Amino acid sequence: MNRMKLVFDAKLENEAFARASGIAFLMPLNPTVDEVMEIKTILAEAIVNCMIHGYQGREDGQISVQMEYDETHRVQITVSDQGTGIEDIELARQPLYTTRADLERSGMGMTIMESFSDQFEVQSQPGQGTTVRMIKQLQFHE
Amino acid sequence: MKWIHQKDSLIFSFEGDLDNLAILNFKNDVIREIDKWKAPCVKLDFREVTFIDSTGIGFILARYNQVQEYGGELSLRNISPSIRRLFALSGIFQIMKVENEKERKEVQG
Repeated sequence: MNRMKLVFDAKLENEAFARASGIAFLMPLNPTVDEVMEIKTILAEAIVNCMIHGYQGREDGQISVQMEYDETHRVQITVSDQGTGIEDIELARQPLYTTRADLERSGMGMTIMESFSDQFEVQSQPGQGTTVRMIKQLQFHE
Repeated sequence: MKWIHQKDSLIFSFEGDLDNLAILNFKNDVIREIDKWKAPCVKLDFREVTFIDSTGIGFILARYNQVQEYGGELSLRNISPSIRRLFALSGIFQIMKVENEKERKEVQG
């Protein structure tokens, strides 16, 4: 078992930092090019959701990214904010559903997280924040 | 991001990681150039793109609508297999044409 936790301000430039750091943490597992792309995308979607929806663009909130993996190369990724939360999680998970069409959001974030992981769950309380947790089984390389 | 206007086409070429911040930085330039030229063919080239996510899908769909409004056509160029896999989730290929450099060269001969 190996674990890490990053906590950072909800500033736009920190998304690239968190994406790169998350991938760097998994390098001992020797992930494939496709796995790297999928995990980068999962991290980007989760973090951008915290910034745009959780904190509504406010930069003083904090985002936490926790990752862990075990000897079977099962990776768990947990991304949390303490922002506005989601009223209707089922609706938020629908492909192409977005509350921020004004910002040209596609409404594909959660669909992508779900498609690129093996397990995807959302916990949210209005006014308290949102946590997404994903499990992804990486291939085992000798 | 670079763009070139020639004859009936306006071509935007993107490079690097097209994340949320990168798209915010060039979005207004793209909107302005499309409105300025109202070219019949607007092409978005992804050959040099190393990363893209749902922010990019939202950007493409919004430009598609912008071009449709004046009767133009938006197409995508040089989509890598990994970008293709991501875009396929959104159904983008049902409404937009994709042109790949390799295919174009074969056509030219």
